[in-house]
Amino acid sequence: MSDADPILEQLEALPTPDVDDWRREHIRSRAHRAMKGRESKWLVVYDRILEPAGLFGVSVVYLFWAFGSVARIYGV
Amino acid sequence: MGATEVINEHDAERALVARLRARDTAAFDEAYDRYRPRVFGFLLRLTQQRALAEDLLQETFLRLATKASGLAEDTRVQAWLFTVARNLFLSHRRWVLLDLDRIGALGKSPAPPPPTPYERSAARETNERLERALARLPVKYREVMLLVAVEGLSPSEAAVIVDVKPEALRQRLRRAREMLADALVAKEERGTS
Repeated sequence: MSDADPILEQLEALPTPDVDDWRREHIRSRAHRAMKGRESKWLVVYDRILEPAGLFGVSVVYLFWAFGSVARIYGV
Repeated sequence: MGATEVINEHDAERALVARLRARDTAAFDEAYDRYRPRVFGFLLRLTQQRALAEDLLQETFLRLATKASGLAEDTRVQAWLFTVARNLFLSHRRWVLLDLDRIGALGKSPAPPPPTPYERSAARETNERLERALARLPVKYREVMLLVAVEGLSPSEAAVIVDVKPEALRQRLRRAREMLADALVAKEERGTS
């Protein structure tokens, strides 16, 4: 394609839009947190192991309690 | 651009990637301030929706932040960002098309989208005509036009981003250029008749 192509010249000259100031800084601060968050090994251990294991444990206890309660009500 | 400048730019980019790999937030800021407007412009013209483009921009740079330490040493940051942005857009588009299929199956037709704030705020008439003609191009032609003609990437860089061979990309570019010219001529004829 030729450099003298008027359509391509117009395309090249289109304005470059940007996000507003609030959004720009919001994304920046979230990204900084994401970058720093990875540095905390405890946070990673909590996110990936402790929290899922804790939720799983609570769910199992609740299920046993619910089945036990139903069994008692119906005298099974 | 001379050979020395290309080498210097390449060295500067490798240094930036090295700092990103070390999770240096100042390096993130440098990449964010340098590439954000271009990635946002690409997404805005691809999606035609400001809110969606903002969401995809956020997701793109969060991916850079979370995957920074795993970047290859020779990563080209700009190409990496455009590739992620494009993939996020395509994933969103697939999801929306699936959703529209479901709505269609229920016998309902979605309301036509209202003009976006971006369309309303297009200031100059020439730009507005061009933006509208661009917006009407099918996505596979629009994305190559945006990457090469608007964002100034080389055809070989754009070919890597859209995952096609350079020759196929050049063909798409030629076709996109023809379609754009036809759309602009048709608009002028409608305007004068």
